[in-house]
Amino acid sequence: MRTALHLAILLLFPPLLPGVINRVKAAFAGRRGPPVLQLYFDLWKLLRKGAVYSVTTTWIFRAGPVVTLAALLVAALLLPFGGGLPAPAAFPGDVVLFAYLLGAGRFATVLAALDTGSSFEGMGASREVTFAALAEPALFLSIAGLALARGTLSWTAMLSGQMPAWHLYGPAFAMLIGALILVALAENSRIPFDDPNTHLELTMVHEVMVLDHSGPDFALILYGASIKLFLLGAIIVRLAFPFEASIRAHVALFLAGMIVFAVVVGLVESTFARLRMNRIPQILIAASVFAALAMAVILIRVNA
Amino acid sequence: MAALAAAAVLSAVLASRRALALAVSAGGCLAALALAAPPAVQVLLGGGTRTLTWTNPVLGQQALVLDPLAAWFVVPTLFISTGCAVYGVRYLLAGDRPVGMQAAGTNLIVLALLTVFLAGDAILFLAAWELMTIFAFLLLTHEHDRAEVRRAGLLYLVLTHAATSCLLAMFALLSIHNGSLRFGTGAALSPGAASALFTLAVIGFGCKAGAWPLHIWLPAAHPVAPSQISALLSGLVIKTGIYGLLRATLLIGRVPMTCGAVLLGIGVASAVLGVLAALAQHELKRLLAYHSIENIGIILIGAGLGSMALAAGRPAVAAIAFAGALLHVVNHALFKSLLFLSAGAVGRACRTLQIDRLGGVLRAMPRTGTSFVIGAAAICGLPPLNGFVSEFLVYMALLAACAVFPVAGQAEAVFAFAALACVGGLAAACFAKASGAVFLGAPRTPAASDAREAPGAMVGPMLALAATCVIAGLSGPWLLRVLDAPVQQLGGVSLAATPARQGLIATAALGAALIAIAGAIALIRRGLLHRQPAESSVTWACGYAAVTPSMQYTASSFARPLIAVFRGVLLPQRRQIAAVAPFAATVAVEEHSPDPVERFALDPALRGSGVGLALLRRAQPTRVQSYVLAIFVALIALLWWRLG
Repeated sequence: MRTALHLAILLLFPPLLPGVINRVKAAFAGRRGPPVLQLYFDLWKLLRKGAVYSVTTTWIFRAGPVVTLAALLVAALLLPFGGGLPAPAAFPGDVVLFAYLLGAGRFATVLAALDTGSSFEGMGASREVTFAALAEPALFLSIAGLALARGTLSWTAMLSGQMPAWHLYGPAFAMLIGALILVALAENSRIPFDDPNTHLELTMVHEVMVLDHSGPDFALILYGASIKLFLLGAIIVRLAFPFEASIRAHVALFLAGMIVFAVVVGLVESTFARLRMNRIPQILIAASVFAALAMAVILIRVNA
Repeated sequence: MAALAAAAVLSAVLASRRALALAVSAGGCLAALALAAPPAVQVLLGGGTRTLTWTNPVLGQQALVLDPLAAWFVVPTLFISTGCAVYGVRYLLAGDRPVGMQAAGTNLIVLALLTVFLAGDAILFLAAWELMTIFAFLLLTHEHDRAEVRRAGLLYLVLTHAATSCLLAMFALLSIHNGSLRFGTGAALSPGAASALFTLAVIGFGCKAGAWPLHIWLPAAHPVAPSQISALLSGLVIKTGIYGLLRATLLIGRVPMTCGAVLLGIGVASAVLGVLAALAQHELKRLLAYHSIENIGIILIGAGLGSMALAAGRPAVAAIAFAGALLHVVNHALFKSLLFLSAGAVGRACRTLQIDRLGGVLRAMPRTGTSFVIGAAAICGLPPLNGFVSEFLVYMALLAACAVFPVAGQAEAVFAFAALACVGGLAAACFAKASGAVFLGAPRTPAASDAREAPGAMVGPMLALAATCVIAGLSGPWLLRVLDAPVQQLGGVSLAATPARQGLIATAALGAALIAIAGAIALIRRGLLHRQPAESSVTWACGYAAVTPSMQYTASSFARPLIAVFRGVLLPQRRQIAAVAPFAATVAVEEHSPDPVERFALDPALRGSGVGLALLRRAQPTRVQSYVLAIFVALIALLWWRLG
């Protein structure tokens, strides 16, 4: 029953987040903006369309979106949405599998982009792997910090239950959340790392990698992207709002937290400019430094 | 082993009949696999040892000992050498050089490898070790009429021999302490003596394994060898360094914590610098060679962490760390030989391995390309393939160490954890570059568009290795059983008593779930597309119509942003002919990142020793009488020393 609820939230809720972000951005720009459910409509439309394939592509191009989405779905099985909704699969070390599943999905997307032979997509792929490689230490340091503070190697134990750790590790957790927000923005190709609205400018990263995908393939990619945003957001939300309540109130709180996360992302997108390409590595390294500092604080606490 | 020796002699005799010699050589490997694999697997599953003893009139009793640690290395040796030998038949026949040396040498090097793993005493070990080095030299200088091949071969020979002197010293000191040259377990040494012996072992075995900074021979030697020999060197021969190091830790017994910490540091340096150097390479086999250094680094992280955990009295952490290191030895042997074999097939078909001259090879060589892509995903440690399982164990050991080590060890484990994460990201970038630029997109040169699929005898071993990579990634519970005996030998506790047990079972289950979910999505996608005919068109170039293959993003451009970030480590050298006027006739840019160790340590050292040796040569007497005098003086001095 709880697993079913977990799966239902996981499968149905994510496409709402980009809708919320776009509404926030529209409100800031003084527009009305598309409906909040726009991504659901887009997905429905794309699933019923045919597809066009480039003559240079091979099976790699067709497998790319499928593998990416599958990897993200398996990763989603490892993440708890709180004590009432533990992860369907939890074991010591699942944090590492989670990170590597995101990596597997990215690898498939990048190879599919390179399969088209387009210089645009090659450029996007190159930047994607660059930023991912630099974001990886920040993510893993955050994971190590959480693991040490909570004394566990599994997401479910790390992100469930009352967090007694907050009053002990407050400053460290604040820095971890900062690092994780940077990682989430970079991994999901949001401003200030990438602009999800464009693929024809010199800063293009993610959007340009999927230029050649169409129809159901593109639907899988959009759906996967929303799930990725949801997953990294869920970690931050559970860390920042570690409430536990009865299951119904808990689900409502968690989903409200996710909406707040989307609003924050929308606020960042409305108020920040996209960074210059050569600035991005610096910000990502700064995220690693944040996480390393948090780790240092936690180490001192643990040994005290 | 007798089968191997017989096959070696036979294929040497048959050297003039090229095909027959190679076939006999491959048959010999196959026979060895059939004969030696069952007892090795039995030892792995059941624990215990098997011994073959004989009496040598000079050295006394000698023995071949098959214990779990040896068996763990013997099984992949048998399996992979067979694949390489089968692949080599067609690969070498396509060339026009004499093949007798290759045919016999392959059998002999496998024989030497097995003896290294099974040797029960220092003399046998060192003899086999030297033979292995010499056979490797002979095999890799197959194309010895090229100057770079000769240079690489000599560099290999000189460096590994210099390192072997450390091993001689180590075994000599150890035998003085133990009173015997036979391998036992755990000599009770003082911490100082243990550290000294361990340092000698790290230099001696680390050079063979290709650990930074003694790796310089590796990226020179592996690319110039025939591909199945590159696979053999990279997959198996460098692993003898790891085996030696693990055996040495067993012989030394308790290794102080600092030694383990140093080894862990060397591992991190090898992993990070290896993958960065790989990223900057323009030639496919050289890129793969640098990835060997990276993977040796990952193995050393596991081994170093294991020694640290034993010294800290945390056998459970040590068991996970050693399990990760041991499993990565086998996994790396599998996917690296797979990658070298497929790279060799591409090199044969396209007559070049310059990454930026290839492209779109997957269309012409679907099975070779698919094998390469599977190998690439496996070496990046992506689930559900085998590389993930071993890296997972290393990560897990590092996380567990963060919680239980003393402060300095905690900090180092955290640092290694983050560095390993970065290595994972960089490796994915590097293999996206390699597989993307070589196999995907459109052919950049006619050489790439004229490629033909390799013959079945070459494709077969590749597909077998690729399948093994997938199966090994999904067989966590079974790995738990076969790893148990060697891990217990090294770490003292059973792997099943650690959290790694649930981890191995769950990663296998979720790997299977990943494949199942991907299959389900693929079916849904097919169902959706069934109603609509899929159209074909050219790649969308944002409205630009006259696109040519040379406009594709090159591998060099692909890696460029990361090289720019790490330019302080890689020190790239750039040569540019910029366009000075409109319609410039030549515009060119070239960027190379020569190995900093080679640039700043090896080359000055060689130059310096050249000068020093020239002085020595001048001092050399030219008359026979002075030699006789020198010998006489030396003799008198010796007599005086011994009798006086």
